[in-house]
Amino acid sequence: MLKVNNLSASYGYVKALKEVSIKADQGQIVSIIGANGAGKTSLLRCISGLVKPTSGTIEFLGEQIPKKPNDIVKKGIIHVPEGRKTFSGLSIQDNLLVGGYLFSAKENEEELKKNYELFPILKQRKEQYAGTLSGGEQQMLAIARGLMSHPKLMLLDEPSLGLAPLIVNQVYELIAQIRDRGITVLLVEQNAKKALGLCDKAYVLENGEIILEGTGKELLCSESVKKAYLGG
Amino acid sequence: MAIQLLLNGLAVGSVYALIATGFALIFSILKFSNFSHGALMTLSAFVGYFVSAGTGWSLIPVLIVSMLVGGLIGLFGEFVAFRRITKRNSATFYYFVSSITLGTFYESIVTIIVGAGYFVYPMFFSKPAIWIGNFVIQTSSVVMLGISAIVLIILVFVLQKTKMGRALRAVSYDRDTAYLMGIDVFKTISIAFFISGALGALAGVFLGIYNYTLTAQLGNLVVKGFIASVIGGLGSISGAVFGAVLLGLLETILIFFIGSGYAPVATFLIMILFLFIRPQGIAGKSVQEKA
Repeated sequence: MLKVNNLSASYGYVKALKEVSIKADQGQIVSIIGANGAGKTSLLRCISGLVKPTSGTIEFLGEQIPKKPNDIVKKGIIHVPEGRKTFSGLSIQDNLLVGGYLFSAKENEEELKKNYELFPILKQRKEQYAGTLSGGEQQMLAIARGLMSHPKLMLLDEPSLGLAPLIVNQVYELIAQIRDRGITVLLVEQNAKKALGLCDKAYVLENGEIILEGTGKELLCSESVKKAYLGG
Repeated sequence: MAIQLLLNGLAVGSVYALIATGFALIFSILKFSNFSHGALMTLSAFVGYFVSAGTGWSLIPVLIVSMLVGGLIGLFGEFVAFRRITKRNSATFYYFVSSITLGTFYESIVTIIVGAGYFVYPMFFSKPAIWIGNFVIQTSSVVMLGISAIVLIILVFVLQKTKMGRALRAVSYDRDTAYLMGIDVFKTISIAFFISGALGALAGVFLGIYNYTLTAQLGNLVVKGFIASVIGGLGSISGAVFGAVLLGLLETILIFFIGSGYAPVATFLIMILFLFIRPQGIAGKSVQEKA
């Protein structure tokens, strides 16, 4: 479904990604783990069009992805950015409607209903500013906002960042539900244990290069991953 | 007398509100003070003057043509002076330099075409004043207040309730994330400049009518919009309207009591006071980002 081939990207002279190749199949959760600054977010930003790669290709459903981020969303790729990035001064409902920007009012109404069923807390507080939500609720809102665009592929950047363990579990249950709906998930995480426990396939990114790949279980058992990312 | 003063103040305030909202729209979306806005007002006021002088049209068609031209000037300005800066994510400083340069460019065009003299702005009304009982009210004040109020209400409705308005607000909060939601960010920025230009043009023509004369210095009145924005809260549309109406009332009352010589001194003192006591303005945002 998603095929990234030999992708490189740089910021000025700093190389963020070096010849990265990954693949994700329909309905899978594929995770990318790695330390801070390994290039995880850069990879997602290349796929969603915010960063222009210096070389390499990105194919989605057998086609090259378009250049502009808004055209990429049209193809069915949604990027839920790191740090939630909800529009703090917009109401919760407006945040969701911005997520459904490319769709008609009628389609949005249906999708809103679905999302409010999934996230009752958002319905209760739909008129309030998004900035008044707690961190965990904002993460839910960010994901719900992403779902408003009817995605085929969801790029999730550090959904567990800064959240209490109990909330992290809720977020991960939600990710599993999203996969069960048939949406492919590309999950970027520092929380390697959580990500590897859920995903079908995983890549380890280090200094902009893929150094390991395998199923979640394989990597959970791998000695080098244990040492570097799971704390022994 | 009090009612006349009030109405005049509201009329002046509503024109300031047009200036301030045009200014605030750009401030909120690109986070810089658009110093070319005043010159855009002058340019569009002259467009209104020449259209009226050339065709003899009544007020409404002149306003519509001026607003369209003002909007197009806004689009042009964004494309020529700001687009590259936005694309490169350069520092705000470049916007300042670029907007000042663009403003000087517009002013020069005006000076080249019309020279330094002044023009008598057309009178659009057959009766310059209306008598209501014992009060005499300028027709222009009533018309200005009415049209400005309608335009501002439409603007607020568009911003709050429509898809385009949501896109504008989303882009002003977080450009990258707006992009990720499928919003065409540059189209949205262009729309903001078009609206801002049209509002500036409307304000320009109104200022011409209100002052009876038109000179190349009309754009200096943009300062009023700036003060109103500061009082109301930079970047906040409702704050800008509120600040502008307050300023208009205050000015009219001050001119009545202490004369037009000292009134500007007092208004600037009030602005400085605001910067000391409440730098975020009346409508300053209290919602904070959470980590």
